[in-house]
Parts: sequence; C-alpha cells; structure tokens
Amino acid sequence: MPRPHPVVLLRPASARSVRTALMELAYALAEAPRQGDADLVLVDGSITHRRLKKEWEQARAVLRPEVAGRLQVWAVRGAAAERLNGKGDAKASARVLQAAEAERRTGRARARRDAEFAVFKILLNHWFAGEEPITTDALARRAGFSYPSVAKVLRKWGTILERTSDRRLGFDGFPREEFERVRALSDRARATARFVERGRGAGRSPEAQRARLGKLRPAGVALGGVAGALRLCPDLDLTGAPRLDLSVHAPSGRADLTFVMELDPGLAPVADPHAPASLVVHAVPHADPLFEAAGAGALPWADPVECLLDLHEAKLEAQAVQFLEFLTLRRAALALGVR
Amino acid sequence: MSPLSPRAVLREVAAAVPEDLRASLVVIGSLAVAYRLLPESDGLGVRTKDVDCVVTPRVAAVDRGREVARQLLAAGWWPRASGAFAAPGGDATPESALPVVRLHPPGRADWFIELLAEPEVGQQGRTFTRLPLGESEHFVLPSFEFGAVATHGAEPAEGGLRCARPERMALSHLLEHPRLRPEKIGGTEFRRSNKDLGRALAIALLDAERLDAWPESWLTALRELFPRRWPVFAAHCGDGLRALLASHADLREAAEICAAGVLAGRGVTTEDLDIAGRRLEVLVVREVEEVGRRATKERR
Repeated sequence: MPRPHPVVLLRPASARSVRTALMELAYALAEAPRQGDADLVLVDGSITHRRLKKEWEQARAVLRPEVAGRLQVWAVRGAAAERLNGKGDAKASARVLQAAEAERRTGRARARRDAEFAVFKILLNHWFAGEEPITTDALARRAGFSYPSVAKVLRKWGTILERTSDRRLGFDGFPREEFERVRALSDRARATARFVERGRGAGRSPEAQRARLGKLRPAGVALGGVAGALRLCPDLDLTGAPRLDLSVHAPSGRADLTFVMELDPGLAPVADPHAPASLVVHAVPHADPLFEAAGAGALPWADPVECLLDLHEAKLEAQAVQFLEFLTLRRAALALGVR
Repeated sequence: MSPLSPRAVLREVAAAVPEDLRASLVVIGSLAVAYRLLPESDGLGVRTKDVDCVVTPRVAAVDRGREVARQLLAAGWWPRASGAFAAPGGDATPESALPVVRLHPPGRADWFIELLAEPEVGQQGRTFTRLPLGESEHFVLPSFEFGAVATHGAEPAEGGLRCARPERMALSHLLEHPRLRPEKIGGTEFRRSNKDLGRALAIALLDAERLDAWPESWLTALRELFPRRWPVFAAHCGDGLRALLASHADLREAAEICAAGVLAGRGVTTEDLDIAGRRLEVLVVREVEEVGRRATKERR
C-alpha cells in the first residue's frame, strides 16, 4: 500500500494546532482505508514532549483503532526524531528527518479554504473559454465545496450571473469589479509562497529551473505566470520571464512544496512579498485543478485566470491588461465559433 | 599573486609553441575554469601562479612534451627552481627525485606553465613519467588517475590550444578524492583534498545555469574512458563531496582556498560554497550515482 508523504507541522504554536492536524490526518486516513500508514511530524515546536504525548493519548481515545493504528506521530528537534506513539526504526526516522528538513527549508503553503475564490475562478475560466453555462452541482464538484456553500456564494453575485431556464449559470460578461475584489484576496486564497536564491553564487535562471521541472515532473504542479500567459498570447509585450510562477494543486488547502528542494537546494523561502523572488508558488485550492496537459516530458499548464493573477502579483500590470484584453477578445471569437 | 587574464596567458603560451603542437596541450586547473566561466569584462581575472597543461595523447606525451619544453626554452622561457626539486637530474636520478617541467615566460616570475601527462589506461594513483630534455636535464611529467576525465572532450581555445570542460574537471576532482585525506599541499597547512573538492564546488557555483547538462557529460566521459569500471566510479562519484559538506571545518578551508584563487574578489563565503555543493549533489551527483548503481546491479 502506498505510504503518503508525511504531514509536517513546522513549529506548532499550540496544542490546539497539533490536535487539529491529528484530526485532519485521521479523517484523511479514515477516508482512504487502502492507503498505507501516515506520519504526522511536529518540527521544532516549543510544546513539551509530555504535552504532545498527552495530545496523542486524547486523540487515540476517540479514534477507531484501525485509524489510530495507522497514524505515527513524531517529534523532531534539531537532527533527532522521536516517535511519540510507539517504536520507530532507523529507516522511518530517516524518512521523517528528511521530510522535516525539507519543511524547514521550503515550508508548506496552506491556502485558506475559500469557496468564493474557487467558484469565481472556475466560472471566470468557463467564461473565458466561451463555454456553455453549468449547473450549480457541477460547479460544486469542480470547486470541491458543498452545494450549500456554492449556492451561498452565487446568491451574492445575482446581478453578474446569467441563468438559463434549465438552472445552469455563468457570468454574463467580464465581472470587472468582482475580479478586482477577488484579486485583492488572491495572495491569501492561493497561499502564495516566494523563494529567492540563497548565497552569492550565480543563480539559476527561470528557464533553467523550468527545464529541470520538466525532468522532475512533480505531481500536481503546473506552469503559470509569464510562461503560461505567453503560451496563449505570444504577442505579450515581454521578453523572457523575470521569475518562474508555479501552481500546485492543493484541494485540501495544503500545498506540498517539498519538490522545491529537488528543484534547487539554493532556493529559500522569503516572507517579504516585495522581495524580488525567482520562484513563486501558488496553491490551487479547487478540486478540479483546471490544469491543461502539455507535451510529453513537459509540465502541465495552469489555467488562464491563474496566469492572469500571476501577472498582477508580479506587478506586470501592463502585461496583465494586455493578457486580459487577449482573453476577452478570444472569448468573443470562441463564442462566434471561430477557433 | 596578481590576477591574470586567462585569454592573455593562453595567447602567450600559444605564441611560443609551434602551431602543430598547440592542440596537443589541454589547459586544466583554475585558468581553464576562469577561461570558460568567468567573464573577461569583470576585470577580476584569476589568481593563480601555475598554468597546468596536459600533454596529449598519452602515447605521445614524452615526445610532444619534450618538443614543447624545448620550444619554450628556445623562446626565452626559464625554469622555475624551487625547494628540493630545484635542478633537473640525469639517467641515474629516480623519477621521484626529478622536478616537474615548470617554466616562467620571458621577463615574468608571477606565473609559470606546468606540464603534465594523461594517465595510462588502468593507472592507479599518481605516477611520474621521465622526460629527458638532454643528458643531465631529466624532468618528469606527473599524471593523475582521473586526469583523463578532466581532458576528455577538451574544446578549442585561444590561439589553437585546447581547454578542459568545466564539468569534467569537477568530476575528475571528485573521483580523485572519494574521502577527505590528511595530505597537505606543499608549503601550506591546507589539505589537498579540500583544495580539489572545493574546486569542484567552485566550478558548480560558477556553472550553476548549466548543471542540468552535467550528468550526461559525466556519464559520457566515464563510459568512454572506463568501459568496464564506469558503473563503480559513477555510483561513488559523490562520496568525497558528501564528506566535505559534512565537515564544516574542511568546507571552510575549501572556501578560503577558493577565495584566494579561482573565486578571488567575488566575496564567496563558506555558506555559498555549501549551497553550491548541495545543488551539485541534488542536481547532478544523485542522478549519476543512480545510473551507476543500476548498471552495477545489471552486471551482477
């Protein structure tokens, strides 16, 4: 049975966050009975081992034994890993330490579960593609939110939606105001993580990083940003990409960024959103990632709205306006049946 | 040590060597690294005293080495005399007591050319090949076990000489030092393995953009040079690198040596070298080791 990648909690601030992580992992295990055991790794926290063990005991008391028995809880401090709920062998310990080290270096982006953002992106992509309106049920499935959550969002957008007699819906034009509002929230909704080149040596260009990604092919990762926009709109007024924008499918809200260490150990996360990053990673929180397959050996492409948000986020405002015009014109052509 | 312009040095060497012999000389070492990877425009040059030239191919090393040395001497180049190996020997002098051919260009004492030979097939460790220039003018050509890795596929350079490919120089250093060794560089307190492994990291740092092409280049060289043993060399090519990265004191020493040589004037720190090493391990070494391990298994 495949063993899922360890769930790592870096510097847990409170027992509550540990409890939440334990329960989330237990739910995931309960939903996937055929999946192998899972590790919860608590890294560099200030909570004592005694308290952590108590949290585990409390969780175990309420979990079904077949779920609790598949959950391995570890505490990592420095270069030492200790299993809190049983014996850990050297191989498991090495696996956990590797995951902890990757987390220390790259972190794990966590997106806010935002139904409005997910639904808006799906509907806008739908509109740009000139597709027929869709049902709320289909929308909910693609967004990964419950029908009531999606219906609640849609109620707010009454005036900008076009509804058909068979209860399908879509935007009736480009929703400019709503787009600006969603755009302002996108950094948080997409849990944008930025990385800079460490050290004073020669860094690696976005082109070199992209070529390596084509070799690594990390699961659930797509190419967006300037590259994604240029693919659709080669006339975009830009030569070369100043940075690489990637989109990582994260339907649970957690984007696994451990691939960044494999991409280039010279990259380090930076908190400052104004720092000139060479790699920027965005979580894609909707259930359907909307990725478009590329040729053999290449990363898939992120959706057009994702690329548009990336251009704005990179402060390439003129190019974002040009790309939006392109998408709107293309939509008109598609609606007329010109492909 | 004053900074040298790699292009100017290569031109000066080429000018003193007959045209038909120039392609027999492959420049390796820090000057070759600088020539390939450092922009001449930054004006920093490279800080080195010795310009290492390997006489190729192995079978003609003595004849061509003798001819090159004679031509340089005839053009006014003069022998560098240092320490116990100040003077050449004669027929009776053992190879271990003979000096290497080291010649300063006319009117300069800040750098010298040093002649080396490619290793023999199957050679282990370092050997010295006698190079008689006259009756009591015997020198030696040193050769290193993995020297042929450095010169493999050398490309044309200034004045018709050839210059080693950076990634293959890096590989030859890694293979020469599968672990850290206590031997010091003559006249210094620095470990030889720290210098050579640090050089591999410096090359990786300067060639970061091209690292993805390194695994293929390494494997090509290993397969062509060691048709039977290449899987073993591939599978262990990162041993020395990991040993260096695991020892902060040795890595710091490697950074000090680089900062005084091939990376002079670039403000490179131990941390920078550490990053370059980790990048080299993840992007290059792991892939080559994996290919080596698979090939080893298949051969069993």
